Amino acid sequence: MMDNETPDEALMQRVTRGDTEAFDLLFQRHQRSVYYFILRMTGGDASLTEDIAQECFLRLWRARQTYRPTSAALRTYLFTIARRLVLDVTKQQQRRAAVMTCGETGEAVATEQPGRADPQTMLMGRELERVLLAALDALPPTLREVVLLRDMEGLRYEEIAAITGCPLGTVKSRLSSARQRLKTAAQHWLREEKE
Amino acid sequence: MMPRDNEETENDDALHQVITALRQMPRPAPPESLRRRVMAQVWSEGETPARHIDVLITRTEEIRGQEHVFWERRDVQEHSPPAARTAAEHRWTPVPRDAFHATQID
Repeated sequence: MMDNETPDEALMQRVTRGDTEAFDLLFQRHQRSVYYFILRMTGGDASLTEDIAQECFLRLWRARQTYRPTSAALRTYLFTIARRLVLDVTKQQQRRAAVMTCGETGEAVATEQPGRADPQTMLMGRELERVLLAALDALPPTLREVVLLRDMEGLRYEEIAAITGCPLGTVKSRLSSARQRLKTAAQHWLREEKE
Repeated sequence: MMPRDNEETENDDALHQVITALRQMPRPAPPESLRRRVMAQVWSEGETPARHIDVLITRTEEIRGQEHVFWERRDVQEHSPPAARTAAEHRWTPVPRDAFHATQID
């Protein structure tokens, strides 16, 4: 009997025996996280995201007999695959872009500024969300991925280190740097600190 | 449960607000087409177990009043479409149907 309470590892054991129903459950459980991670890492390209997400889950399916549940939690495994696929696609795009243009390159900077509307009447939460999203997309991928994995997916530092292949200290310093940039970009929409 | 980074946000209300907003940010649902695409491929590949031996009866014929079967054994590789499966062994000698299973399981 399988349901939403069945642990990932139990489902994966069934998947290793070719159980497509168990795989479907795993897919439905993790698709939103994986999809959103890829979506943000590709700068919001929905079409590309769908292609990469499909490949990500199919790689899990095809690796079902070599998957070892003790080596990493399933979500760590999935994010590792997703990240590698995004990196591969990004490299291909950069090569293509280098051939097609010799325009300026450089890191995008979030330059969101307050609009004309009175901040008092703004829907602050929604505005903050919009600004943070723009700032997030403008972060370099190495910083963006740690914010996504830590602050949006709630992964542990150790898991992020495993996914990115970075030492724990690097993960923490990147996260700190990314958060400071987001804070700077969103400062106009943050509530005043109460004294 | 979402982890907390109290050390970093303890004295920084602005940062705390940023992290809270990130954690509460709604995430769009993936398009339904994603599941259709993934599962169609999985079901297609899932029809073939990783590796197994298929024993197929290719023909039956009555010989001297007794039904005989012609059969062949195929070694099925993972993910290979039916057309690409190679017949590893063929048996052209008909076997009485009653003895068929004993013959092919070796």
